[in-house]
Amino acid sequence: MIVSALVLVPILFGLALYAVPRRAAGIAKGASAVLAALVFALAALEPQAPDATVRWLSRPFAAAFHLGFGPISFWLVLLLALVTFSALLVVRGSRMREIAAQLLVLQGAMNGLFLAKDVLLFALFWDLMLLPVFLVLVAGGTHGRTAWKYLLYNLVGGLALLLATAAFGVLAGTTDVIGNPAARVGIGATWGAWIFAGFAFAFLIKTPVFPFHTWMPETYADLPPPVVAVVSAVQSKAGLYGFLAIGVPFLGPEMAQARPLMFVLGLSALLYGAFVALAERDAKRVVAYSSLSHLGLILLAVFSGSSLAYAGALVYIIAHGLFSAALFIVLGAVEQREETRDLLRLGGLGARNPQLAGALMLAALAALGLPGLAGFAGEILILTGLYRAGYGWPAVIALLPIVLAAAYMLRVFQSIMNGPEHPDLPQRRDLTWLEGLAVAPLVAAFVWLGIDPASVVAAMVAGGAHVAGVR
Amino acid sequence: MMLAFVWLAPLAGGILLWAFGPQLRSWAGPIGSALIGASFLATCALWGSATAPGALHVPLVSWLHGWNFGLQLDRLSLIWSLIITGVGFLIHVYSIGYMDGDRAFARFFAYMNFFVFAMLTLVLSDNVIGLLVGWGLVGLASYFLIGFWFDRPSAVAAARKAFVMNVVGDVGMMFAIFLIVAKLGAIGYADVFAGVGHALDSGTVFLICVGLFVGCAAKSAQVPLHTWLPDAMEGPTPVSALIHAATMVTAGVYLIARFAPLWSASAEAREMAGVIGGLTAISGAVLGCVQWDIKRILAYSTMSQIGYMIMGVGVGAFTGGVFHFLTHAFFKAQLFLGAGIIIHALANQQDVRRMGGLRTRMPFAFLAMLVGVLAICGVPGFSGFFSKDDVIYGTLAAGHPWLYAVGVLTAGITAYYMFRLLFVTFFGPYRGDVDAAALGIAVEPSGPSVAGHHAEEEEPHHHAPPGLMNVPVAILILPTIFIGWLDFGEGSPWKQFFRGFPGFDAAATSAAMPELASTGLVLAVVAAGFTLAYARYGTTAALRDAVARLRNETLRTPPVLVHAYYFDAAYELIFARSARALGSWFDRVIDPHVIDAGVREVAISSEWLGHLFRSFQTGLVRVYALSLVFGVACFVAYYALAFGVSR
Repeated sequence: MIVSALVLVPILFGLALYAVPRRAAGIAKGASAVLAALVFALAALEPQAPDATVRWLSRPFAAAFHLGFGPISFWLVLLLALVTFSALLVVRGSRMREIAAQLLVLQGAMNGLFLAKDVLLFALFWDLMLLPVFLVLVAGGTHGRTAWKYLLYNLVGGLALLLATAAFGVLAGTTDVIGNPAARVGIGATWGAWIFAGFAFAFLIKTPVFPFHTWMPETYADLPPPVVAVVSAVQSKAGLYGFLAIGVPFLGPEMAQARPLMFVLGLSALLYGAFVALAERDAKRVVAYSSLSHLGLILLAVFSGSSLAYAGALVYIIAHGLFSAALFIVLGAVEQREETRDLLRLGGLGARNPQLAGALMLAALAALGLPGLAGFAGEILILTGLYRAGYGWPAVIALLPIVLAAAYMLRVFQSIMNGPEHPDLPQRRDLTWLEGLAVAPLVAAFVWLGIDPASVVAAMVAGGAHVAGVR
Repeated sequence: MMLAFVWLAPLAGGILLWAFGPQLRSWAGPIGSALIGASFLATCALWGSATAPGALHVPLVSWLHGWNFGLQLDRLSLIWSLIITGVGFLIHVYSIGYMDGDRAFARFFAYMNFFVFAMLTLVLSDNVIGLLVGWGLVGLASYFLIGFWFDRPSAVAAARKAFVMNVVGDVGMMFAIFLIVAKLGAIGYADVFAGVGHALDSGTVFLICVGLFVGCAAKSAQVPLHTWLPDAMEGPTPVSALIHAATMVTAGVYLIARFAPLWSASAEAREMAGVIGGLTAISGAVLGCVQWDIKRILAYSTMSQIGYMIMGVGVGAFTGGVFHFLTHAFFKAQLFLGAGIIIHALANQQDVRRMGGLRTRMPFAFLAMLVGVLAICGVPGFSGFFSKDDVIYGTLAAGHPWLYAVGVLTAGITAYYMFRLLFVTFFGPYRGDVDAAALGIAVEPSGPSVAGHHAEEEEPHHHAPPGLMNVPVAILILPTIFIGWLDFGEGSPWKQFFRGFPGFDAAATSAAMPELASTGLVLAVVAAGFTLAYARYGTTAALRDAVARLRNETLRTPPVLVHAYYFDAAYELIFARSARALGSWFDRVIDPHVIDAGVREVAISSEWLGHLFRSFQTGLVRVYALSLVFGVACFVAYYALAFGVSR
């Protein structure tokens, strides 16, 4: 009951918003934010909620509409609800109603993805979660090309995912396996490799991982800030979640085989993204490329086979979700005030906007991995896990982007907030209370997670027993 | 609980002053100072429990098995905590006067309080990751305070440089943590020390020391990671005194002393730290001889003195190195605060060529600086004499005659540049009204000295220093002179205090010459340095022609010294510029013309996708994409209808 509600209520509520007159868009936005908060509370209070299962197929393989909490999905549902809440608070402009509606549909679809215990259901929600983002881009009118690029890239991945799922189902006899380690499925080596390739193709595009990333900077730059906050914070984790929830338990040998390739891709993303972020002029694209870099690190962790690194991966997934959402929300506030994101044109805002500067500083510090904040906790767990598992060189190479991250994140902050004030920029008021309310829970969460990630770590270390092949 | 108060009172102050600064206005200074004072008193009250066997330990959180975080107050962290809160309190009080009237008065104290919290985190932590957290947070506080006047591009650039270089250090420490966790699965100091010689073989111990030392070099401005420190003088002078002289930059000394059991177990690590420390000591001192900005002279002097400390603790003379930290904290704070009185009174003038004759105008500042100079030069009876002698002799006792020679020579250079500073600033005629060109000062704003820049930006207002600034300086005079006696003789209280401390006793002592002879040699070299400075800057003739002589010296300084051995230029070229170039090549060429084009190529070569991509402009693509979605829907519906119902 409860788990189904987490999926269906946001979707239905979102669709219902289209019936609200445009005049009442503000009320629609407020109600949506309340709903997101309720979803958070429901998930937080009922982590033991029973699964919802409706049998669905029995031929050519068994499948079910099966939703339920797992140790990872619990945290991702919470993260999604928190980020959606924050994003909804900063929705603005003439399309307020539509964007709020699409954010809720997105939340429902992604809750479905994370809660799905059936691989087929997972694959269906995978495609469903692309639509709200696509519609927001297309409806904006000016970003048609970006919208199609986003959709095509990810649908091609989605198609591979669907084919791999069908093959998985036929060979294993059932797709109702996620979170059920007892269901050891026997897939031969030949088919295993193809199935893994199908999953991996979809996951790598969605994350994205170098060199499948070129849809991402444009999408992130063109999406409205609240939507990009959710896409970057949570949707980008769908592929990594897929590797952890499906790849690690059921395709362990294939994961191990693919490790060298994935390490190369992960390290490439890690370095490539960091270098590009150093050179970009557009603030949102700097953050987009920094995401490419950070998610490359998580890819290393996911393929490490080390439970310490898996724990770090989950901490970093959440941490990245929190700080990237905060970064995009604050940068959206800057763009809305100054009508530009060009780092060379901005400057000196800190003097008149101390709260805006403080919010951007905190988010940037979390992103550059300041010890004591959540990004650092994830990094140190992942890297020590890698090193401990015998991957010393990847761990050492992964240290370099940490230095680069300090350089590009401070560059973003200082270019916008420091230096002499630019007289030609519009003078606007400091952070509004609504923007403050949007950023505050994200900051509180990444401070807390940086000091005491024990509960998240426990989810993975205890859940490590679920995960095959963990040392 | 008392320890938690010591630790968290400054944090509470930082948050309070940051959040309510505008409302608190001029109360921010006294509140910030009072909290640090309270933290100091609480630390004093903990003396007994800290020195009791087993020290004081407070567990905090545990991430997973073996990753336990807590606070510990033992003898080493007690000394550091007392300096951080004690000297920190005095500098806070001084700042109430120094920062009076600044637009962001409250923000200044918020950052200062936050710094004290961060530094306490660093020294009170009982494990390597907590240490790294403190390490990172002091770097952040330093960033905030260097860039405190954030409308100045030079301050903003200096702040970023300091932060990024310090992250290089953090990364080195992360490498050390990899090794520790990989071998031990635990992060506590106790676990690490217990592992030396068992789980940690000598090769691993050395690698851990290398990683830690990278952190130490970055934080303590050791060659080659030192270039941020002179630029850090962009921050307000009290910041230079507290963070970039007395406390934060000595964190590297703390680190080595804390990991004394590791250093004691690795001769290579001792060699490395000793050599880098010695190199830093002498190269910093040489650069101190050619600077004209009073704060940059002191900055290079700090770099040089920390080089002494690192050399000391590096070769295993732990009590000596730590003692030099203690005395340095007092006399260097004294020197910076004295310089601050001058800078404040001369409306932000920092160029010593534009000073001169200040002895009669500011007798108190002269007294303060004189005491500081005598202490740093190691004049017998003053604090620096005892500690520096300990370090220099320690290198000889540890069997490093070359380092000993460097130490002795540096003592002479130190005497030279410090008395140069004293003579040029306080003796002869006042040169504040002399034309800049007559002194050979380049007018272009991009010179290494930014002093003039400050003076131009703010309205010049000569004012006598408020009495409040003199009080902390007067208090500091006492330890600057007398604290050295704690370490007088063989069984001194200082050596007793650290007897039996982990790793401190391991150093071998086999001296090639008696200590008294060594002291005599050092004093002779110091006297030579003083004599040279006197001959060049202090004689009646030199003072009479001061303007011409200073001009001459300015123009004739070797470029390699003016540009500080070209470290900055090399780093800019090798790292900064090439990284940006690589990044923009990726961005402008690889991303659009290789990857994107490649994807399009693959897509076009397959007919189905080719249609989609080629139809971007035509709008036909919508039909295809929608049919794709429709196809998926049909697929699902087919299965649902055909098989779902039939069980």
